[in-house]
Formats: sequence, structure tokens, C-alpha cells
Amino acid sequence: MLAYVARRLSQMLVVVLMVSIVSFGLLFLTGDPAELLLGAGADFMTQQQIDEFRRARGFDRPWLVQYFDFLSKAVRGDFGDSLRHYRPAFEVVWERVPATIQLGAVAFLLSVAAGVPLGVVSATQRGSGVDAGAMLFALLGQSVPSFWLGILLIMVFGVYLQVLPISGRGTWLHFIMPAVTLAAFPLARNARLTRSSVLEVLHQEYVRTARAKGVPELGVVYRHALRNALIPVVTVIGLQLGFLLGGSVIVETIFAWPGVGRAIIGAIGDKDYPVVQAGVTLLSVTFVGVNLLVDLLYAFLNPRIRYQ
Amino acid sequence: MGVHVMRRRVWRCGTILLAVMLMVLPASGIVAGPAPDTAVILQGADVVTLEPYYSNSLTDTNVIIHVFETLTRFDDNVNLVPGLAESWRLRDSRTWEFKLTPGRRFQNGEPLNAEAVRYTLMRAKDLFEKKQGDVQYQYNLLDLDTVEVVDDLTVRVRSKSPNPLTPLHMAHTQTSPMPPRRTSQTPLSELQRQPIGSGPYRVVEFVPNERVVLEVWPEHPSRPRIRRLVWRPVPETATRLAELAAGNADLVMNVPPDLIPQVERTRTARVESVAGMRRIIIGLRQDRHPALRDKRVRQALNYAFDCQTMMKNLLAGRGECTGILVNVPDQNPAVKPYPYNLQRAAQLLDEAGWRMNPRTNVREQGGRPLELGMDCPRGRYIKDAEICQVIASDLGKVGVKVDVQVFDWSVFVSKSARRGAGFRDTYLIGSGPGFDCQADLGLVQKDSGSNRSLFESARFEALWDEMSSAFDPKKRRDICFRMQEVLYDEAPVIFIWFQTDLYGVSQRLVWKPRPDERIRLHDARFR
Repeated sequence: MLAYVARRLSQMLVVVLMVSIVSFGLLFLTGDPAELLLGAGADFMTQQQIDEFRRARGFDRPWLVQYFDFLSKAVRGDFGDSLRHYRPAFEVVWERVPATIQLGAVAFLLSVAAGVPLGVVSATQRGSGVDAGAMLFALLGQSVPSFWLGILLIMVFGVYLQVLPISGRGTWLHFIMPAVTLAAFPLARNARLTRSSVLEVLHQEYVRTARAKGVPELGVVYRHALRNALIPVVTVIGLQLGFLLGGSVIVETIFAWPGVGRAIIGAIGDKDYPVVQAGVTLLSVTFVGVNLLVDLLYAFLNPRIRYQ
Repeated sequence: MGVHVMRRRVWRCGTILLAVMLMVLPASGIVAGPAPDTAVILQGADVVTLEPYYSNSLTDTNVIIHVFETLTRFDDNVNLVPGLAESWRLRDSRTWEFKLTPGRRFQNGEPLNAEAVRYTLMRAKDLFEKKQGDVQYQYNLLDLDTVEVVDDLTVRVRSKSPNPLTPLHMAHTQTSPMPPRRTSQTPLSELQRQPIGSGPYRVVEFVPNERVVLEVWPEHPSRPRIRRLVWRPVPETATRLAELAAGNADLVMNVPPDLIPQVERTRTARVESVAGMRRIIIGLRQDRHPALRDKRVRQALNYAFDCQTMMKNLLAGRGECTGILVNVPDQNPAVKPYPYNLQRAAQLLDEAGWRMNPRTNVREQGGRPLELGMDCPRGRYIKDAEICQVIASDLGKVGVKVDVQVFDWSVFVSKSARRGAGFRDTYLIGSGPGFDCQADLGLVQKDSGSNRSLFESARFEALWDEMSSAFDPKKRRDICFRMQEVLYDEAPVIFIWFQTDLYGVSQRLVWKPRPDERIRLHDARFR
């Protein structure tokens, strides 16, 4: 077990280091980070002023020295000051984390609470109209792009029926449309995966034995079949948590949700690179960290994994 | 209990719950529109700071102008009028004297006097020298030397060199007086979110990334008619328009021209438009393709561009073509847009020695084809990338082959640094107003940082020098008119238009847009 944990931790470290290189490299995309940060302002400065700025920011040092300086500070959460907010970039991103977690958590619960039962119902009624309907729903959920679904929901529930708030955050009603939009894809995947997994288990001999013993159908499905069918589903569900926390950029933009994704998009528009670096690093570390936790949990629950 | 009975109960409960939600929610007020005394304004980006000296963004400025005031200001027709100063006069070529309106106070009770003006301007100069805040552009132009308090209501602003534009710079939010005692004793984070100004509204709530709420300050002499203003960031255009259609918003910015019919079909909103002050041009670099150094070629490119048709078909007829680079009120009415004339364009190109190769349908000179690269942003200006495609297509008709490349704004803006060093032969760019003829024409002046084409004209430079030493407004306007005539002839750019600003406005709100892109609600009211 220890060897497995060590291997996964070292893999995580490599991924985070790669992300840090990409994040650091953002500033060097056009060659001169000083002019990138100054933008149009450089037009009104003399070359001497630009050189002073470059020296003050340490951009005149070798690339590798700058990278290790960035890394050592980033580990401590120091990405420098935001160029627009005039306070630590990490603080700008961090204050948005609760909104992203809230939305991600609601979407996660929705994708599990609706996706798994949908898959079970679909499997137990294989070939019926309910099954066809559920799978059509799952197909749509996986194939409809989130920006399209989001706008569609806004038009129906926000503009025509006027039963839900369209954008922003405030009440529990504000969660409904963004959470449904964000949950659509993982919900559909959970439903499909649960269905196929339950179908496979329902043909096992212990299920037949349970039925032969006279266990009621609900008990057969939920107590005997579902428990075993859930093992692959749990793995995928765990991995979704990272996706829901990191993949909400589009949904946050559509619904004006004040989360980390929108902060990154806004910072890209403002050329606020310290905030972009802090946001990208935070999201990737979250994603990798959640995946690691899920893997460890899975290995703990299913000891066979450790030897693979 | 059988499975079927249980399933039926679940379905029934779910249906009842949904029905109850649908009945209750509309009546609950949660999704009801704004209160009768509250205007909701949706902007495309977050309000980050309300400290005027730490922001240069339009989203911040729109809120700041309701909380702070300036010594001078621009009226709805962009004429310079008194603000906190009731009058001003030139004392010598470097010194302007401003007389303040008596009896004014800040929202915390501190007196708004000459000392407050001196304190704030010198604080900003200090920020400028320490490279703090966001005042670089403004204080470079202001060239501030000292500020002298003459008496409680008289202040003299002295620049390092003769500056006829000082009163104009005093209309910028980055000269807004701030209360000295409070400003010097309050941390920056608090100044950014709980600012104290002298304007007609005060900040009652600032929820970062979500909303800013302003309420009328009853002691202000102007007494606006809308009691509360709520400013919210909604980055997605479709969402902003949905909020407007649902009656949840009173004012949204940046309505795309192709969505105008959709807004006008709703019963809740209308579209208001105004010819803005942002000049959209195609810059023609002088240091790349040799053809662009020839005036006749530059003129030919203007003749070959069918601007009127583009306005009608691409921009819903909501704009006017132009042949000038200067904003109102200094525009020379005698200078008209270049007419669409393919024959004249072809003739000028022939005269310049660029002959059509019938085999390739591209003009050539000495074996070098007239092929130009054109760099364009996407989504920064109205239909920017599409405008580039139209112009490229039009120029192709006279044998000028244009290769259009479209970039995201964050990439495009990097290309514009170092006087446009990253651009290819031509580029579409928008330039905001300088609020003065000379400031506007920096776009093509040889030493100006915003002259990304590196254009240079001896005739124009002579007039520029003449204007730099002119203080008399009449004389300046006369020189300005002559400069516009020279530039029309020189054709340093492909002239396109002054971008029309389009706003979605709720039917209950009485409000007119301004050409300077500022959303000012001081005189707005509800029907």
C-alpha cells in the first residue's frame, strides 16, 4: 500500500511541476514579459523606464533562476500582486473558491442523486419505454454543449416562464440552472455507467439466488445488485469531482457565477497574469489532489488495485 | 407495498412539488424585476475598484462618476463645462487657476476646498512617480508640476511645460478630489470598496464580483431622481439580453447589431444607440510593404472599400462612415468619407506603378505582388473580425490581396506593444477619445506612442507644432480643421467609422446614451 501511495504521490508531483512550467511560461509567450505586462502603457514609456520595470520585476535574470524563484514563491501561495486589483493574486482567486465549491458540490450531488437512480431504473426496465427515454436523456446530456444548454434553460425558465433567476448568486434558486447545466454531462455518464454495471450484475448467480430465496425485487436490486454494481461507478464519480470544480469556467461565465473560472477569464482579458497563474495553478492542484484522494480511497476499498 | 405502487407515489409527489414550485416562485418576488426606485445596470465585467486613482477601466469608471466629481466635466454633447470648479482661467502658459463652487462638502462632511484639490492631485503625482496606482497615462499627459492653494476656493495647477489641455484633463476621474483626512488614514483596500466622494450617490454595498449598490446622497445639490443604482457584472451578452427581456435589468451595454431585432421584439426593452468616440481604423504600417508608403496606394485602398454597404448589411445601418480621425466637437464638416469608387482606386494604383497581373488577378511592381497581411482582434470591437473580412474582400476587387488573421484580444494586444511591432502590414484597431483634437491626432503623429503605423507627414507635423503652442480655442479649432484636411489627403489609415454604442434599455427607464461610452444616470428617471 505504501509503495502505491508513494508512486501516486510522485506522479502527482510531476503533473503539478508540469503545470507550474506552463503557468510560469504564460508570461513568456510573446518573448518579453515586461512589455506583456505593461501592454499599451509601454507606448508612453521610454526604453529606460521599460528596462527599469524589467529589472524591478527580475525579468533580466536567467530563465531557470526566474522559474525556481516563481516555484519557491508559488509553493507559499505567493504569485505576486494582481495588476488590476493591487493585492495578492492568490487572494483574488482564493476569495472566489467558495462560490466554485458550492456550485461544484450541488452539481456533484445532482449528478449522483439523479444519475445513479436513473441508471438503475433504466437497467431494471431494460427495453421498456422508460429505458429508452432515460437513455435518450443520457445521450442528450452527454452530447449537448453546456453553453447551449445554459442559454436554453435561461430562455425557458428565466425569460418565458420567469420562475428562476437568470444570473448571479444569492438564493438557493440561483443554483438550479447553473447546477443543472454543469451536472448534465456527469449525470448522463453516471446514468449510462450505472445502467450497464447493474445489467451486468443482474445476471450474476448470487442475484439469481437472492431471487430464488424470495427477496423482494427492490431488495434484490438495491441491496444485492447495486452495491456490487457501484464499484466502477464510484471510481468515475470520484474523478468527476475534480472536473466539476475545474470545469465550470463556461457555466460560471454564462450565469455570471462569481467563481474561480470567471476570475481566470476576466484576468485573461485584463492581461492580469499573476491572477491567471494563481488560478491555473490552484485549479490544477485541486484537480490532481482530488484525483489522488479518490485513487487512494479506491485502493483502500479494493485491495486488488494496489498490485496493478 | 409493491414496487409499482411506490413508484407511482414518487411520481405523484414529484409532480405536485413541481406544480407548487411553478405556482409559488413567480409570486415569491425572488425572480421579480427591480424595485420601482431601483435601476439595475448590467456590465460585461466586474467592478474591481472604486478608488479612481487605481482604475482606468470603463466598468469601474461608470460607477466612479456617480460617487466622485471632477473640477470640469463633459456634458452630454462632450462640451467641457464646469464641474466642481465654477470657472477657470489661464494665468501663464504653464499655470491654470480654478475657482471652486462654495459650500461643497464630501460625503463624510470634510470640506471640499482648494486644499482637498491640492492634496489629491499631489497624492496622485506621488503615485505616478512611485509607479503605483493606474495613473501613468493621465499624469504623463497632465505633466503636473505643482498645485498651489491661493485661498479656500482658489487653486492653481502648474504643469512642467505649457499645457493648453489642463482644464480638459481635470474632467478625468483620475483628478477627482478625495477627502484628505479620510484618504490619508484609510487603508487602500477600504478606499477601493468604500469610497467617499462628493458625487450625488454614495456606496451602500460592495460585494466583490457580484454587485455594487449606490444610493442617493441627499445632501448633494443635484438630487437625482432614481434612488438606488445596482451595478452587476454579467459577462455573457446572451445572458445580459435575457435579463433585459425578463424585466430584471434596466440597462445593458454592448448589444450586438444582429441582436437588435430580438431586443426590439420584447415588450420590455428598446435599443438606444449613439455614434461613439471610439475610432475604428485599419492602420497601414509604413515600415513593412513599400506600397503603403505611397499616398496614392493608401488613397486607393480607401476608394476601394465599400463602407456604406458594409454599414447597411453588417452593422444593421446603425453607424456612419467617416473620413476623419477627430471626435466631436472638433470635426471638420467639410471632410466627408471617401466615396466607393473602384475605377478611381484602380487608376491610382496604376499611377503608383502597381499593375494588375491578369494571370493571378493580383497587382505587382517589379515582380513583387501587392499582398498585405491584416491582423484583427475578435470580440473587442463591434464585428471587428467581420469588418476585416469585408475590407479584404473589397480590396481583392482591385487586385490587392489581403491575408486576414484573427486573434483573441489578449494575444492581439500583445502585438500592439512597442508601437505595434507585432503587427503585419495592416491591422484593425480602435482608439478611444482624447477629448481634444490634438490628443485624438496623436494616432498619426510621428513621436506618439499610439502611432503604430509609424506614419509621418511634414505637412501634418508643421500644423502639429503650430497647435502645440496655441492656447486660443478658436485658433486651435482652425488648425485642427486644416489638419483633418491634410490627413484626408494623406490617407494614413483606411477610415472606417466612429463605433456606434448600442445599449439595451428597459421601457420604464428614460435615459440617453453619451458618445464617450460613460453610463451616466444623474439625469435619468423612470416613466
